[in-house]
Amino acid sequence: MKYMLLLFNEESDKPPAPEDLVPWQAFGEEATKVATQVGGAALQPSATASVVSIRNGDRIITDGPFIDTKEQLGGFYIFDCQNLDVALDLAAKIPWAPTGHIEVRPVMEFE
Amino acid sequence: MHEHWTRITASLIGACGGDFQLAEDALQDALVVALARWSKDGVPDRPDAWLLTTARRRAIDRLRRDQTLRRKQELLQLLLEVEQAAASAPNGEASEEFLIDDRLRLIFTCCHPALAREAQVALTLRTVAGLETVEIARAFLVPQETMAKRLVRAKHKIRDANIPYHVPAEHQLPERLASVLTVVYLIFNEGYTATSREALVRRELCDEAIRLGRLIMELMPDEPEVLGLLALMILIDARREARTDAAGDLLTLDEQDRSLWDRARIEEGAALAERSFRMRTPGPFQLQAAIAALHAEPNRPEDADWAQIALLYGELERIEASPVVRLNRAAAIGMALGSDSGLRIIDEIEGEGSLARYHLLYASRADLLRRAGRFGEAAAAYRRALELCSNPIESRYLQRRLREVTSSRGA
Repeated sequence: MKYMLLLFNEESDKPPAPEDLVPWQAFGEEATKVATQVGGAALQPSATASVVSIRNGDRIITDGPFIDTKEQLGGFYIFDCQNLDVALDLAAKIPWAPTGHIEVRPVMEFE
Repeated sequence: MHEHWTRITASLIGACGGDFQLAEDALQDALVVALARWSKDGVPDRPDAWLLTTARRRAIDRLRRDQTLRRKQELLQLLLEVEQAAASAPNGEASEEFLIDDRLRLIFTCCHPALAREAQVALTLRTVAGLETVEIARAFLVPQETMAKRLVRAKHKIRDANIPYHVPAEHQLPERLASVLTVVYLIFNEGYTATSREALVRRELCDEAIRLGRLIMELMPDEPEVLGLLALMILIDARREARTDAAGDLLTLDEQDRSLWDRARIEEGAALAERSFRMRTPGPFQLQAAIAALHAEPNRPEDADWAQIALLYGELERIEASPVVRLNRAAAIGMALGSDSGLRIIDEIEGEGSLARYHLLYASRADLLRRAGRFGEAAAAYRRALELCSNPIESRYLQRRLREVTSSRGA
């Protein structure tokens, strides 16, 4: 079953240093032991976001993230793994888990 | 029947690959068949095995009719394998199918932290304890429809998020067991804090929680907190008859008629608490059980070992720091060393603010002031507690105390 892990955290102003990436690489290696990664990306800060909607036929574009909270969506993974407990274990190992929040959502399957 | 129900449900959900809804529907089918067949041919030797086999075949039928999804084909394959294994088992005995593990899997899945707490409680009562939806709804004072929806949502989440039907791995066990024990204790408390009008239906919740506690102890006999929870529930429940007076008003421990306490149960609970302590891994339920035992064992309230109780609350605070635990410790210290020592800690807790609107903070203060004979201050504290209290039974108790201290002052 596929799960999307959405990574939320407070945003930092300074760009990541090369050594900041070490725990993420370690996590990636750890994850391959129990799951297959089928997607994932780190996102630019929420200040770069635009929001689009159509109301009464009019296209409305606004700046900023859709939900204005302290913690922002900063990236995601999609893993194929055996069950929710495996996905939850993976989420707990993500370097942001101690400071932010990881939302785990099963991916809808169409047959 | 309770135990049979749990065994059948647990095995069936296992055979259905963790699909709660399929298992429930198939069991419903099997019960309908049983009703017709048994009234004609008599009840079979092993009704539980008969029901399980019939339900499993009904599940296969249901899946055959509807194999559109790949997932269902996988399930069908699994069920056919289980069926084949059962058929080729020696003597055709079904007893092997009822694995202890199945019931444990069921309990852990029902209490999975990915489910909302109220869904965990409902699902545990429905599938582990075998209560009808309407009974659970009545016990939790919600409309039947609301409870039915809650159960359906929970079963869908188990299916859609693929919550596994298994006993958690070693590294997940502490967190997951804590969730199971919390659910059982919630069920117990829901029954225990019932008001007199609804007492009868809700009392069953206490019995159900104790039954669940016994089941979990049977399945996990080496977990000290499991013993601790069971001990705690039995010790509290042993005082059930003495808890209110004839008018349904709350009586405190020192006012209760101790001849109404169930001594056999107190002994059972105290023995369990002791056994858990000998395992040398203290936890919050064990400590609360030990405190409950210290309250329950003496024949006269003045013989209670308050110093020991205060020490145990101190231990509890070390493991599970919370202002409510601290408040309890303050009350015990007030009893052990005199009101002033307790009042000092209560003042500190109030100063920290998080319990500033908690009626028991003021009730505890009032109690210690009353015992110290400071009736005027006690009356003020009882009044403040009354302003904040929303439970009618507790309010009546506070009003009674308020009357006592105001008339003492006048006299």
